[in-house]
Amino acid sequence: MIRVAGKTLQAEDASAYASGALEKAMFHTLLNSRTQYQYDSPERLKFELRLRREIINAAREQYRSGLNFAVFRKSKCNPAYWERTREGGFRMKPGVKASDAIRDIFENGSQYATECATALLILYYKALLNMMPEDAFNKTFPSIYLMNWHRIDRILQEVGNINRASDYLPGDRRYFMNPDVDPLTPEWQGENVIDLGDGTYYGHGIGIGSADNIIKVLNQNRMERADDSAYLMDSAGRPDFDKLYNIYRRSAA
Amino acid sequence: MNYNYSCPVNELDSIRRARGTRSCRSAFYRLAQNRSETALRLINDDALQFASLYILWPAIEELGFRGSLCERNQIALHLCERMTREKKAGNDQEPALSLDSEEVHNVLLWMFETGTADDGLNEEFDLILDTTASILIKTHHEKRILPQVADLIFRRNRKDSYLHDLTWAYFQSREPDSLRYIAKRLLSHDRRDAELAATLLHIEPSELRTVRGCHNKYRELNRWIDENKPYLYFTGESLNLTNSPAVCHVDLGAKYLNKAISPRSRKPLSPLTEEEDSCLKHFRERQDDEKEVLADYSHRLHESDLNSWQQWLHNPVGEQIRIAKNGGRDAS
Repeated sequence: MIRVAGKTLQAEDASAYASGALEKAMFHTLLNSRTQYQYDSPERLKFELRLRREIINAAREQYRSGLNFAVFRKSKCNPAYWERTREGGFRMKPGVKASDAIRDIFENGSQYATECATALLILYYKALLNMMPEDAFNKTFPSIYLMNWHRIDRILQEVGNINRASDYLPGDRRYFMNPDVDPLTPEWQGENVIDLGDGTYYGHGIGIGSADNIIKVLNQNRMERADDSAYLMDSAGRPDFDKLYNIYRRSAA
Repeated sequence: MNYNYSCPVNELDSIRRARGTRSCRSAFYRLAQNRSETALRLINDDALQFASLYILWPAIEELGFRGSLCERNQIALHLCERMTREKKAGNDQEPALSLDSEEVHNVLLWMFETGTADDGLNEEFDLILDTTASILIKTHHEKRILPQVADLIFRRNRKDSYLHDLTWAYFQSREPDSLRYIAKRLLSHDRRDAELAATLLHIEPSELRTVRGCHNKYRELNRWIDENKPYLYFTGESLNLTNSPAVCHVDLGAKYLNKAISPRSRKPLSPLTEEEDSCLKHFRERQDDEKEVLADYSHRLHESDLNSWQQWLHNPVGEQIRIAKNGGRDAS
């Protein structure tokens, strides 16, 4: 059920979204859910659905960008925009615009290498860049540090949390856990992915595939005499859409 | 076989420690050219530290000494090769040496215990240390190294070096006492230690604003571990999954029945009786807050008065909750 400004929405309210659009499918998932989803305004609901689509777009852009996979110890970045830190993260250089630094990862992906969690953090920035005016994006993010979920900007902090949800939606961050991973390759301990909304997931290093495909790849990297298969965890990571909407609204004003 | 690494200091280690890696390599080359038997005796010495073998690895290959190495060194270099080789998805080459043999176990212990003092030597060496800890903990269930691994995690944190794989390996031990080694750091004078300990133990940083707050939290945590140790299970959560990993939880059903569980599989260590099974079924039907009340009360009563606990458990679960909420005052 969806309630916007106290009013319960009906199936015909989906006409606000183009036929065949991902937003429309998401709208129906929320509408048909037993959970009550509340929004202050129709714009706030539209913002969430659009941002989810942009997260998926950014995931597909990243997949095509040529961004390499590497463990933190072997990570690399374009020194024109980023400084590689001792722990393997990327810190934006002073005097660089956040929009240029983020865009460069997508335009010159082959100059970068990182693991799956940092790659997902990068695509959240790109999704916001796709939506926000460039100046506003640069003001919102005067400095950026990219290093999985450990040191994360307060504005995006919530994407680093993962919680059980009553419904899983396109654009959610999900996680495939590999409990019996080969200790020689801890980078296969799990895969952070984005739900692309068509039964497939994008995970940096594995690419785009169904849950079964991703589990198969993870299972190929288990220890000798492993008992447990990799599996998709029953939880999701999401940005704080309210917080981001307020930033977006101010930037668009 | 156990390696004795508390014997007199090896000459190659002394040179490396006093004059650095390059001098040690030069000394080894000179020795190998003039007195190759002495060079081999020193490198195969029981007292040698792993870092010296590691830095001399290229020289050993170049001099053709590989075949003359002792078993410990042969295994160690074989493991280093496997640890540093790129592994791609679907690459299922047959490993030449099984990681779970006792020989490998002993060599890994030697590598880790004599190697950690030289953490930071270079990225590859640190990666080897991480992987060594990971195999010892995950494959050999080796818990003796946990205090040393905890030290290494906090040392790296102070240097801003990479610690995520080591932290992940540490909690793969699924050992409740691993929490205590981390909790100790809440009392550290270095703020960075307390901050990392708070992240790893899922503690709100606001609870650690004062020295008193840190001491209170430390005592509270130790009491919590003492009380819940038999009922803890480890989740596998890591910094790769979340910025706030909850590495373990209490199995409230197990605490309610006072039945120890496996921290890995979450299964009871001894089979449930029919009566326990039935109690658990009713317990599971209750709300989360009621489960917590039941588990806490049951545990306390079991500790203090076994007979009263058995009587209380025979009540219907609704009655158990009523008694528990009254603090047992009308248990009869």
